[in-house]
Amino acid sequence: MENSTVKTSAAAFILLLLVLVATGLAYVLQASSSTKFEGTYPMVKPMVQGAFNFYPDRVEIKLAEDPLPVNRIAVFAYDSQDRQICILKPVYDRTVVLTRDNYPDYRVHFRNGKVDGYDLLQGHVGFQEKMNFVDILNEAKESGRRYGVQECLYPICTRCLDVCVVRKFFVLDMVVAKDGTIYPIFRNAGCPRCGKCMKACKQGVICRSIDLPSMVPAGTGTETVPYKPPDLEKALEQMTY
Amino acid sequence: MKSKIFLQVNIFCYLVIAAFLASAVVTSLSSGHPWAITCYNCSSCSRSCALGINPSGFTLSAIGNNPQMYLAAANIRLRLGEAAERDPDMIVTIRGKENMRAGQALADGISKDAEVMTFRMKAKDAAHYCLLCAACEKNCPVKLPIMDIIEDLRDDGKFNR
Repeated sequence: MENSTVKTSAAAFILLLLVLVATGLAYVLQASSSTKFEGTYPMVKPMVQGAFNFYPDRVEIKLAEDPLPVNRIAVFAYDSQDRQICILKPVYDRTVVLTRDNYPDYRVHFRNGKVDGYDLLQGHVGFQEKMNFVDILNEAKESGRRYGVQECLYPICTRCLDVCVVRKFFVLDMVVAKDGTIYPIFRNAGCPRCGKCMKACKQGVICRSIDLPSMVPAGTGTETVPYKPPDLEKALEQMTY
Repeated sequence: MKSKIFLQVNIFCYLVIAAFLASAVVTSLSSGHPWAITCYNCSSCSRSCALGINPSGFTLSAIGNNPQMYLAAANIRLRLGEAAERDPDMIVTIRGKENMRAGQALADGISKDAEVMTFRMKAKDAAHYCLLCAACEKNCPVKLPIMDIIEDLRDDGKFNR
């Protein structure tokens, strides 16, 4: 009698254990599946192009398109120490106007071709480093240094890198193009398509690949980005792992 | 007798302080961001904002459930017309002039297309112009989700969560 009770209890316990294991497995499989196949591969939006017109008292930049969704763009110029000096400007009618009372907002440092840090220059009263951005742009132009516009606010904004679950495998990384712009690149082979980077990028630089049908489709092996600057291969070669 | 009056005054003061703190808890709960009450205004966030916004102003507005609260935003460039349309009482910095209200600057004959820099603006307006880079959140020593408030205010200028 006692033996059969023990057997029944053991059977009930094993059954309970099996149910728990099955529930756990179902949960894990369901979660991994939804995470893996929920979205599409992320892609980098083609960088906005700007035509610079230099005047004695100002610089006007005509943009090829509106920067979306944040109507603000970073104008940059490199200084003699190869640091990127940036100013955040509003865009009206696809035009950015820089006057002599515009002072830069931040300065980006590089080491071995990679971003090493930044200084805020204009953020607060008493925290300013007065440098006229029009003069900086003129100096960069005359000295043959790089200048331009970019939508990506790295390293001020690191939201995509912060949320990337496979960042340690360099699936998402930042590169500096030959024209001086900083932008993200993806190696789709290791991308789980979780969509977090697309959601995190409020500048609209990272978007879904299906939103860019005319661009290069997502690769499965090597690096793939929709917009491929001519010096990208070189930039990738210089990266260390 | 003296000690009794002293005790009563003491208790009354404590009750007033408790009522004030309780009202802050209630308003922060009604804003949908009750954790905002744990912000201790260390200003680590404000030192990281490229637009010169003081993000602790967002937490203060959440504590008070008041999106109209003014906060420091020293480095947002925009047109005077836009600033005045959004809030005529917004304090702006205009080239060669003292800080003044946007509405007053327009009335003084300054062109609405003139670019100005903000100095003080409402929390809901600051949320509108915020770059959403989350540098403030990253630099917060207690990791308060400041972006939640900003994104909440950004939609319609109200606390809805």
